[in-house]
Amino acid sequence: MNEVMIETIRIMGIGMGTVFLVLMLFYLAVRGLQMLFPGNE
Amino acid sequence: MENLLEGLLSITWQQVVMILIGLLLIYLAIKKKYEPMLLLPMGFGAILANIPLSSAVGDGGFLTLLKEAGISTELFPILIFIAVGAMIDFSPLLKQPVMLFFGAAAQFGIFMAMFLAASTGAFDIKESASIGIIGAADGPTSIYAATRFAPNLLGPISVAAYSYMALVPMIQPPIIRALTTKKERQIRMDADYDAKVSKKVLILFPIVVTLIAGIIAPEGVGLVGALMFGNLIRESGVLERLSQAAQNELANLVTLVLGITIGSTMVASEFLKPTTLLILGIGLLAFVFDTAGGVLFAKLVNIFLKRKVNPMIGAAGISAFPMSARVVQKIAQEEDPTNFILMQAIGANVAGQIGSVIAGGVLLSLLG
Repeated sequence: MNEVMIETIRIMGIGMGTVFLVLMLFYLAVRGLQMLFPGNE
Repeated sequence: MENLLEGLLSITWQQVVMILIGLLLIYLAIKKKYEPMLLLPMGFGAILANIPLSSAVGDGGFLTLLKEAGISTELFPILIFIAVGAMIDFSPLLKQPVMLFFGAAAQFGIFMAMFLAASTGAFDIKESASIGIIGAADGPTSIYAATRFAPNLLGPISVAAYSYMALVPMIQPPIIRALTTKKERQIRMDADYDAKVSKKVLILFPIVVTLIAGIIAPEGVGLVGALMFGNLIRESGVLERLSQAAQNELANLVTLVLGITIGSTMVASEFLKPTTLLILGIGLLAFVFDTAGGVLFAKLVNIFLKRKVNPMIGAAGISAFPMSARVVQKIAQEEDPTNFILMQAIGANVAGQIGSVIAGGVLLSLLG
């Protein structure tokens, strides 16, 4: 396997992982905001 | 007389083919209504750019000026993002934030397509990433990344991105059916239709998203920031006139020049290459892998859940809004006319709009 492919696989792993991480942080942020400011206020 | 015949005498077969491709795009836009706002101007731009000795392109040509001012500077996609942000209502997602995870899973196609593009050996890693972002199912993100990483591939990448977005109702159903059983497609999901989202949450959400995404992937903050700025204008409640201007005048004006400018990059010498066919093929596979990634992620989650989710929701996690959510609801009703999962599908679809921008930003940061 050449260097480009190894780098591509590395970026695939880090990239997909980071997307999940960021969206998980959004999820936690939304839950936090909803606890601070409930919808029925 | 010679001057008048100069154009006719210098036309090449490649230019004729490109003019025919331009006509095909216009036909698809008008007759089939495939993304007409983009494909029609793109088709006409392709014709203008491929007329022999065209004064629309080259030194002083208005299309070249537009390209240098709006595409090379990344200004047009950023302005489109402000407009899109002003159009998005995040409340279906904020009522069910768990849908964010489906918006992440359905970005799988971006990375698989990037891998496929790199494995052909025809593209370097940045070009492969630009091709992968066709799987974002999000035209402005594709244009933004291609401008940054592979300006030579901007034409075919844009054509693929917008064409496949229009073809979502044809691409997704066979993949969804192949990966789910009838019983799974009939799963019902409860929705709290009366749930309310606080105005404060709606206002704070775009700010928090910008801060988190900007800190983790600063190269992508242009994309995310523009999208969320547009949304903040919408939700602030004090800038109604600007919000309407972003949703209408700004969106219409930039769309008008964006399409024709991208079309002008489809010159024969750049477009008529075997790599264009590869890009179109890999772009289609990106949408297939997006759909498969979302559905399979939902099935994986179901292993751990007592109250199962309908795995078709995963397919709605792509950015093609609202086509993808409609596709999922249509299949659900074909299996069971009393099953309504549109609200959950819309939530996942909105999450996909965020997920695609984040994926684009992450790739820009990793390769920038």
